[in-house]
Amino acid sequence: MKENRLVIALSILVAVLFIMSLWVGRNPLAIWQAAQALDSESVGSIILMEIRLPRALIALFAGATLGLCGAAMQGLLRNPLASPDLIGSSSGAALCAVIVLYFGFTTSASLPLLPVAGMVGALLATLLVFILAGRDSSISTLILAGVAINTLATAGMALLLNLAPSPYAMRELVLWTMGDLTDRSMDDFYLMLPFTVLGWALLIGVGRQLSALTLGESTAQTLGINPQRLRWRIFLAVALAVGATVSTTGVIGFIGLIIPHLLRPWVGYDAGRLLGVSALGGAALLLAADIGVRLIPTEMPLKVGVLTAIVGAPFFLHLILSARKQHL
Amino acid sequence: MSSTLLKTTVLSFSQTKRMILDAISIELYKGELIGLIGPNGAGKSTLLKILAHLLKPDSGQVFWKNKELSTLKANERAKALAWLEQNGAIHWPLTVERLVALGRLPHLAAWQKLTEADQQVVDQVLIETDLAALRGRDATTLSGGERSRVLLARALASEPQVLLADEPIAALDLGHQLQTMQLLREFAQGERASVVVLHDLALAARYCDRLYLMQHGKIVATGKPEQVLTPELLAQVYGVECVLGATPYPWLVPVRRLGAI
Amino acid sequence: MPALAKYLIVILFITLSHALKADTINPQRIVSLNVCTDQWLLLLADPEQIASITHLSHEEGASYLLAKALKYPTNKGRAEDILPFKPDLVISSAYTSPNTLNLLRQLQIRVETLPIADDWESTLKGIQQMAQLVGHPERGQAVIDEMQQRLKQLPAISDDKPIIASYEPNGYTVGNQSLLGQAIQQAGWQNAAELAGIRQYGQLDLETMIRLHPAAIIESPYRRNTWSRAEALPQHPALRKAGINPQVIQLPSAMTICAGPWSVTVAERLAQARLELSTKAAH
Repeated sequence: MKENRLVIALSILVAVLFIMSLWVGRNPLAIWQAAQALDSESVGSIILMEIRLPRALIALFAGATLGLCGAAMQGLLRNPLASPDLIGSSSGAALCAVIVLYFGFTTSASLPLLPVAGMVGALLATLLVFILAGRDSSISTLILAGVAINTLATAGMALLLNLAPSPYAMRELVLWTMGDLTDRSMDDFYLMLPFTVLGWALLIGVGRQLSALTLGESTAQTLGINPQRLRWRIFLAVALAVGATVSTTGVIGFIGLIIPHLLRPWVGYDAGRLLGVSALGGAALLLAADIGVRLIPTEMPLKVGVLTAIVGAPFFLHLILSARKQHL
Repeated sequence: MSSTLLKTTVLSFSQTKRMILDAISIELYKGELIGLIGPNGAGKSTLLKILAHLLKPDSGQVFWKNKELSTLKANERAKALAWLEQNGAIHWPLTVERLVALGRLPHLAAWQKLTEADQQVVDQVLIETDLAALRGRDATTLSGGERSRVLLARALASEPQVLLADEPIAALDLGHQLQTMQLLREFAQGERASVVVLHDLALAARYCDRLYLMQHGKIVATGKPEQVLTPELLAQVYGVECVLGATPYPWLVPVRRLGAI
Repeated sequence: MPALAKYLIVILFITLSHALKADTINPQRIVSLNVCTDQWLLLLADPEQIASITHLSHEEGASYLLAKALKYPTNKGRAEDILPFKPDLVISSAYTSPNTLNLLRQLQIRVETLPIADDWESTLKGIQQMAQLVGHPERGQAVIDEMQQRLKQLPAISDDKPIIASYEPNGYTVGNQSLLGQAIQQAGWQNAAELAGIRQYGQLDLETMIRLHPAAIIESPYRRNTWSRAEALPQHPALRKAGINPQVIQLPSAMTICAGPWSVTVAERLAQARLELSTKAAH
């Protein structure tokens, strides 16, 4: 009952934020009028359909992906500090996306390569962290391995963007490391959509298996779960969804960390039931942060990752402190 | 129809070139409570894991009724066998009730939620294991003994035909040791059976139908408790001189360590 | 030839060269540290006065006086690049690193810094200042006179000014308080940036572009056919769907990166483009 109410509340929140996201922008826009005039080629309807709608849709899908993948990884690793951005999946995706976007692949026909590259990068970075940290690694080893991979990927991006032929490339480093949703088109959304949805689809039905992992891998196995197959399935799903998302938005930090952690008590700490609500929560947080960066008056547009990091980093510290207390 | 539930051919298992199990076999009949006893490092837990299909033996097979265990679907196997891990982990602070309900997972169809019947099984198990009062508690904050009972309750909630329990009474107080052995005894009736790793030989003698005494990966003796628990065998395997009795219930007092064995 | 005669000739030569040196106190080994001061130096100094210019002046996209520039060795603006040229004058801009300049001053090298030319007034002043530094003020005056003459001859401005936007990758644009902004006004256009409230330098976002619907845009890409998020922005489908099909006025980036006499050519081309647009509209 409590859970159903949570799902309803989060859904309403996401819907309200989605509509607000369509409404907020540099130009005042009566969206109802614009929506009614959809057929006409009015300025209002074009701004609504071609600029604000893709932005809101990308925020919705990217946020949901980050929340969902954070919950899946935390459940898989039975570790509240695991998330795609902390363990390197996101930065690996961004690095490969940078390679494809800035070097040689300038025709629009090769654009579908972008989410594929993001996926490959996310998968490689995730596997590398696991090889570095070992399978049954402690929280600190995993985070240190993630820090190493993140630093390496960011340095790689800086190097590549410096070497890129485009004179604008270097300035876009912040876009990849902080994340950004401005001025994306429906084309960008359609590009990220199939891989994102494929990643989500791979996660259908893993909820119960993640719940069983609460009892450890061996006991979960005697409950009919194949932990090895589950691990690969989640890695692949995260690579697909996060890879496609990051290659569109850049690395938006902390959503995958905060959201599952905040919502976990609401679903009775059940790793399986956490998945769906984390997707809703992630979507709500990213939509809200993206509205926030548009409302804060700055000279140059603020990157959305700046806001999520300002909220997320202190939260991360809090998590580390409470984890330390438990281990003392 | 045979009354055999679990049966193995000759099993061997080694790890990093060390022989853990050396050509042993075991058989479990319906209605039986079997005790695996022996000193530390004898290979009892390894044998239990092979029976639970968690480890693959280097040679030999495990049969469930007449089928090879590995040919069963994972879900069928999960409904047939439950394995109770020694010092099992609880990774998230679930309530006791939710944790026990995880045992129902093999019985649920995809997307199906806990039914009324499932909830009744959980309630029943909570009462049997004396946990009804703790059902709302955070399972990670329980004492060691309460925690083992919760994990036993989880295994019972799976309603398996065979329960494989690895030292289920190690952390329990006297009262709950008796209660747990009584539960296992009641469980292993009719169509069901259980294999339990035990260190308390007196309780093993009192509750088990048969014992397997293991040492260095081999089975030294097997049979009814009074056949296995003899001063001679105990001296040979444990290196301890024991005094045994059977009135009114089996008892055993270790007297002193014998010289090097 | 007698030994005395030889001796006399040597004496005469030494005296003459000394006399010449005393006469021309003009710097003889000038090093410039900024691509825009490079351009003015190439414009106003004698070829033998120039010791070194920046590497950017050897790039087509940045250097309007590329052909002249290619004759000189380059530096990357670091003290150790500069010292081997044994400069008697280093000319820098406000963008040059103050650490480098302090180091040069400590080594007793004369350093002069020219202000940034971001409108006509500072451009003309800067050209004058450079001409004085290199010792040819008359050349500077001639350049300035010609520029002012040409600016006066720009076609007359009509009342209905079409909207134009300087639209660079990422939507970067300039307002009226800039050299290009002034050229836009003098050429008879209305600057979209000004309508969007941008005075000097800023970004025109997509929504504003759609709302203002400019009749023309100025493109001045530094490098063509490269790929970045910034360069992808003008291809955004929203612009196409909004029916924005502006006349694209291409200006070589070498004409817009630095100010100089070629900035007048920019104003002339913009004025020409406006006249063509109004005749097209009249038909």
